[in-house]
Amino acid sequence: MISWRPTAGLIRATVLATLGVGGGVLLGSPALVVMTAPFALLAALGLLHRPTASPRAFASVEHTSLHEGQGTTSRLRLEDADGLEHVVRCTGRAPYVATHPVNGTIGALVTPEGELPQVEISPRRWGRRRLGDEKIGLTAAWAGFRCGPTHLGGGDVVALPTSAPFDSRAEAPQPMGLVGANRSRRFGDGSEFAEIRGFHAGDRLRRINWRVSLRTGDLHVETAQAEEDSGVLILVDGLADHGRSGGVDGRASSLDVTVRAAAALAEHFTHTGDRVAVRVVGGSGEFVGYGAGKHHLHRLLTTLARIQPNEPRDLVSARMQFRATPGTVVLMLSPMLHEAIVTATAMLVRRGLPVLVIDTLPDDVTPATVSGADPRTAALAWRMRLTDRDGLLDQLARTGCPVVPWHGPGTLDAVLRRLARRAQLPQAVNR
Amino acid sequence: MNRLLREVTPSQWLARTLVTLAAPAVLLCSLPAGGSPSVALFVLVLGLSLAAAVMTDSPFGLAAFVLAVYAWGTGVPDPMSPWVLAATAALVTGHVAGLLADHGPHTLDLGPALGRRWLIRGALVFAAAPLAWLVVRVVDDAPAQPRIWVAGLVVCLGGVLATAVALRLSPGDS
Repeated sequence: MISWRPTAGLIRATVLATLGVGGGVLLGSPALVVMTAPFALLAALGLLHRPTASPRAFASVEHTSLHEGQGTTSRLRLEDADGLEHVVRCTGRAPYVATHPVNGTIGALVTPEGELPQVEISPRRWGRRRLGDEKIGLTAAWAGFRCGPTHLGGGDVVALPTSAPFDSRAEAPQPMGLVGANRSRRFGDGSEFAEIRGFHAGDRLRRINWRVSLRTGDLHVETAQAEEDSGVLILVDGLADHGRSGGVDGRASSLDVTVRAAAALAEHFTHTGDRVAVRVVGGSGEFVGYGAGKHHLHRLLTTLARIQPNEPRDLVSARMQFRATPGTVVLMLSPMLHEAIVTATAMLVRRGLPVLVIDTLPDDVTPATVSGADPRTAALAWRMRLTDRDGLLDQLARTGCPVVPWHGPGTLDAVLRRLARRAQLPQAVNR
Repeated sequence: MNRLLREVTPSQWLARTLVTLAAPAVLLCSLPAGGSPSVALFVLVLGLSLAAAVMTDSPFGLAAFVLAVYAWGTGVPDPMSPWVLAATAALVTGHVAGLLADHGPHTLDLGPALGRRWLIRGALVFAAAPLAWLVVRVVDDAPAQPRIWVAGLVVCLGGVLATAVALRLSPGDS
């Protein structure tokens, strides 16, 4: 509940009118009365339009969950606001939140329908975004009385990562599911022709190939490869964020690339009918189990939006639980700057899982340095770190784990096909 | 400081400039009416107006207006010259500009709708000044009526009393 108080303008008009008329009468100077007569009118009108009730204000955001770069509206609702003429809303600045108007301040006359000014809001980066504190000011008719400025507090918006453009036509290397779109190694009721063989008891009659059967004199049937869904485990490196994020339209940090790529992959594989899981390494270590469908995709995106870069104290790669079942395609999204991530990847490869590392370190990334650090020393340290990283990636590639930089559509096609071909070959697996 | 100045919207610049110029304009209007305000008074009024333009809800604007009106009442040989209307127009303009600027922070774009509404209101309330000026002119030519001053004093006191009651009964205080 907000209370009304007289404005500086009303006080000015009232005092000036009183002094002018009083002084004019007492001093016998009609000029003073002439000069202050308009102020007497303004004061009288301001007082006459004194509001009678104390208003209550509520602000709410129309959508609390949206993708970065999308926009929503912050609406104001007022109760007991009779006699109101003008409303001002002033929204504070918050990191990675754009407002329209740009300065966050908007004022408008209240229409007869009671329409109030709206502030348009757009989160410019994925994550949980707290909107800036809002202040409102209400002015009564003839600007005689005012409420506020009153704090309303800023709401929260969850900005889901935009899925970077991505498409892949490659199939999962070792699908081991029920019903899906990936060709399996076993025969079944798929649409892809596999072979023609002699009839066995239990074969369906509609599978009989009559031409071959007539030519050979024995019944032959056509077989097809089963089509199955596949488990896709997306591992997200949330241990650190390298580089500076410029939001959805600006430069991307390593975590920006990681999260947006993970969102794109999750969206793609969910749409193709595969079961997708997400495990965040670092941060709060969240895990979303395997699932499919729109609701599951929303859960995955919300989990990705909650990532806060953080390195747990007890980070030991041997103790990491990835819950990767046999046949699961593991996609590791990481700038590969942490040894624990590289070790964990190598362990997954040794388990015989098809693992693919997607390098998410942007080319133009510059390291964050402490204030006062010598820039030449910092640049040298960064170069040394990159050299170490190249060595680790080479070692990883030698274990049979492909490493590809993220570049949107087609990033995975060639390597997934290679992994699928490799999956046809017999392998020795460490268990 | 530069950032603060850059944040001020054009409409706020206009309103605050008018606030700054209003009271000094009253002193300038007294020159053709035969007045001769001192430079010190002019500088003082300008300074107060400038402070009022920066802090729109401060009493500096009131002080500048009171000084300007007082200077007109005491320093102009013919206070009822037609220039009094020009001076009143400047005062009303400054007051309305101050009201508008005080609607929100310096980053607020006042908008054409609000400006139009207050332009009309300002013109309407200013009409009281030429009306009063004409009445005074007519009454001046008539024989002297001492009771009119008593009646004026009663009206004035009544107005002050009504204002005080209205302000005390404002819902914020209840």
